[in-house]
Amino acid sequence: MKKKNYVAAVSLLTILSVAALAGCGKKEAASESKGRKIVVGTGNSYEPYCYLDDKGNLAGYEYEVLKAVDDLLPQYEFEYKTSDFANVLISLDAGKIDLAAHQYEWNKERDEKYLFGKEPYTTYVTYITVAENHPDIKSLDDLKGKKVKSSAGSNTSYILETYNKEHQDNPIKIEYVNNSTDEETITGLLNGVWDATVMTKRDADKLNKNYGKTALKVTGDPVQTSSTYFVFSKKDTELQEAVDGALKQLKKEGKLKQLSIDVIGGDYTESE
Amino acid sequence: MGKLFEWSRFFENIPKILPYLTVTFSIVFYGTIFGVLLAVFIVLIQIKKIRVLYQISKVYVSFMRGTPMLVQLMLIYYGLPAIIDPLLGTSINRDWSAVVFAYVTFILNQGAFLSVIFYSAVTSIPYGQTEAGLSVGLTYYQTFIRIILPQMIRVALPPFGSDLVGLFQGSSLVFLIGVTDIMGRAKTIGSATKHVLEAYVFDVIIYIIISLAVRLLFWYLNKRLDYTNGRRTGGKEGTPWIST
Repeated sequence: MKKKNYVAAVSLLTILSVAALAGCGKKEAASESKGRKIVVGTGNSYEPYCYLDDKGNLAGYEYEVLKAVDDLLPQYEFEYKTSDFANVLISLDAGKIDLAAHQYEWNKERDEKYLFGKEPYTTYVTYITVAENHPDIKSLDDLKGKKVKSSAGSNTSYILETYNKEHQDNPIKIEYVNNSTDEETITGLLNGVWDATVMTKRDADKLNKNYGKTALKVTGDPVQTSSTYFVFSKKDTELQEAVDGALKQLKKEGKLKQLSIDVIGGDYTESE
Repeated sequence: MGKLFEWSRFFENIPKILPYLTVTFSIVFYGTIFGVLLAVFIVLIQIKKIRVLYQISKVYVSFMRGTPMLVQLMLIYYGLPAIIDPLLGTSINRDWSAVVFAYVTFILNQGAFLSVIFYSAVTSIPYGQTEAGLSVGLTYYQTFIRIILPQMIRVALPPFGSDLVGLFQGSSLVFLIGVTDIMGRAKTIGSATKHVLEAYVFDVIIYIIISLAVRLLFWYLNKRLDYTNGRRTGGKEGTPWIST
């Protein structure tokens, strides 16, 4: 009798929890789609590319471009999933998303794992960025032994790490800071928490504008001149070709340029 | 960027952040309700010393208590579908939203933590009481419900309260897998408006209020459940700010 009670209680508990969890899952899966559902993964704290607006909805350049792409592709239906920058590509690995959009620059390491779109949708020219009053730093060589802010999983980190592999005697000290706000970046650079960081000119201008006066400056030659692409999983060439085709069309119609001007504040689709 | 902190921005943030309190509460709610059920299940296994399950539960509890919450969250979010989907032919990887994975993580985590609290509470009641119950003709089940359980709840209550306070704070980790709770909302307000401090300060106030409310509730419950009217050593009256 005793044993029976326990067995009953245990099985009831198991059934309850499974049922509850299954219930949770169903709610999410219920929406009926007209085409193949594509889950787009993007970040949530990189203004003006991907961030959450006043009401907490996804906004930004990535979103606007993808929305326009989606309109051109009736066979797909995009759904958006935001997460921390470092987790976007991991989610692509794990098959949680089909398309990653977070101003991804092409690099060898990434190319080995993922399928890159062939059609760039923004240029991405990065410079060493330092505090205004900072002694001149012209190139990566001047940064040896200095602290440089970067974020894990970014192309900048990749460049710095590659540089360090060749200069192991006095490497650049890379400080990985993910999810930092612009306030943190400016304050850290001004206070000397970091000696420098690497960013695009437009990001530096944005930081200065929001700070109210010139606090940061970009120096030297570009660290890297590249463009950004959407990233897909290796086997998904069909989706990649469709998205590339749509991007081409948006470029031809001048719509991409318009989006860049409207959202980022300048045309960064072809050159800077 | 101007001044670092401005009250006007602080008040503007309140309506933006408050709706996300439901996310925090739902995580705590599911984590506690199903966590308690899971904990009871684990305690049953451990008290009955059911073979194999007993060893598994020991390893499980030790793992959950010994690894960071963040790691568990990542493991469940990325790892669980990789195991379950091919096994059961489901696709929870895509069908479950991130918040469901957060629920699962917190349920599994709380199950382990609460099981330790419950187990120590049960074993804190001397076995003589069970023997006494059985000797007057109560069944094992009746003894547990009428004699052990009321005393055990009283012992388990204070640690359960502080665990709950910790759970509220732990729920702030879910932003990393893309669930926007009040902490995540503060971050996103920061990146959208360039002012993050006001949002953080508001979050701090929310967490303090929640923590005080939970502690007050448990202090009250503790007092209500004090069957001995303070005669027992553990039951002396204290202030809500210290005793729980």
